[in-house]
Amino acid sequence: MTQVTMQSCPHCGAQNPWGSTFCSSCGKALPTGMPSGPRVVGAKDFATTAAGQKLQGDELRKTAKKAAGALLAVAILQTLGVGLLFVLLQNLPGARRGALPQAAQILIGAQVGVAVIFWGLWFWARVSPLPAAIVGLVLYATLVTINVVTSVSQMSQNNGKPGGGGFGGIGIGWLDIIIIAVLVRAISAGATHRKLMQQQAAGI
Amino acid sequence: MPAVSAAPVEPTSYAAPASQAQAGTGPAPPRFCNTCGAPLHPDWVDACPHCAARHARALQAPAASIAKNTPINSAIALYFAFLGASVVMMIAIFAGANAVTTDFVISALCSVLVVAWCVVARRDVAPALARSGNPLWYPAAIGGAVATFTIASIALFLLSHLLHVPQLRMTDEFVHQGYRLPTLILCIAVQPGVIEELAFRGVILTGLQHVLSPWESIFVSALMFMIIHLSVPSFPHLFVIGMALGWLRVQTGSLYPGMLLHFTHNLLCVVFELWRPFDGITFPW
Repeated sequence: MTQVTMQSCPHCGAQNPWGSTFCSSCGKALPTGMPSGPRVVGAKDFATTAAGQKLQGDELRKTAKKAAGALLAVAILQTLGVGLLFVLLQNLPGARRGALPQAAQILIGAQVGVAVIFWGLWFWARVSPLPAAIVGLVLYATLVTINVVTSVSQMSQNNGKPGGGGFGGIGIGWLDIIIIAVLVRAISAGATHRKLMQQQAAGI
Repeated sequence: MPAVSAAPVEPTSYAAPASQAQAGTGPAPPRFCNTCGAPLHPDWVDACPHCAARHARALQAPAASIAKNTPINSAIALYFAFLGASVVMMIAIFAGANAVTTDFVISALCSVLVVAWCVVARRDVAPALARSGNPLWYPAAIGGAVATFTIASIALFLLSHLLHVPQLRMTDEFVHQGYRLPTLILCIAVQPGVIEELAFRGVILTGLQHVLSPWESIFVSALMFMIIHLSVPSFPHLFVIGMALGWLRVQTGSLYPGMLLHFTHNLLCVVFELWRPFDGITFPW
């Protein structure tokens, strides 16, 4: 159990938790210079009162639910990407309409598969964000890694000129970083939330 | 300024002031909200009804620490270590290294890495290694391998014949370079059977079980197992195999039946590829 630092009220001398704005005994304002507003327990601690646990649990759950937003964004982008790819391949010079080459069909099939998986993950994340966010992170980071490897190998083939594909020169963009960061935060919050529930159930 | 131990922990949000009087050393119940200064009802001390926000006392109560997320972080980190190994292998082959030699080196590195990881996470992995489970699970695992091999063969047969997905034969490169059956079995059946089971059903599945329900853990670890193989056409049957292996691990509490299933499945793939009883059909990993 950690100790909470206290401060004395200059008006009545009562002890108040550090960071309080008003004295809990006389109601007068406490000296400024300390952060006002509620002091929230850190991510590695959990509140010990029922009300505190509920507030903290809600907060963690909200963060975990952000995974759904990130997964939805990926699903939409992937779907748009497949559509674009399909149109581009259809209009390749020399391509007959409706008869895509074998390699292109397989490429589109794989991309559609990935899009379907992300739509599924989005639905799943709305029900239970933690497992869906873990799978989402693993799949998305794997796709980004493959993209980077492909771009770098193309670059080395083209003597240092960035190859096609990928957002930036090496196949990783700001959007990738943001999506991964949101998923990592969601996993962390989701895992802490589950722990909080377990500890509550165990009656600590 | 003395660091006073904070108020005793109230079991509910409706803690009566009497409970504090009994505790003796605790401070008097607050009469005003720390955050907004509004008067509080003496019976309701946990959260302020005026500023409603995450208020003081509720959250200022001594915070007990939450067990860290170490096992789940370790599970995800091990996945990325595997991914890193695959990337190194892709780059090496791209740079013109011998595919079979690269496979030997990367497999050896992965084996060392996974064994070291298991030693670090021994608290999670040791119980599953110490238990052998009901002996009846072992023949069941061999039967399961025949079943998963059949499913995988059908899936790949459909993909290659209906969608014309090209297939790759794992053994060709080995055979081409003059390696014989024992090396093939060691590299394609024994090494993955033991090391992938230790990693995916040992470290990862057990790590996930700390925060997920058993079915969620099986499902997530099966998806991770599926994705790490980096082959979209193989996803359906890899997912089935991952679910079967995860279920076996949870059901038996042991890693050995899963290792047997994985080994037998891969062995069947090697044998059928070399034997070629049905030419034109190639076999899955």
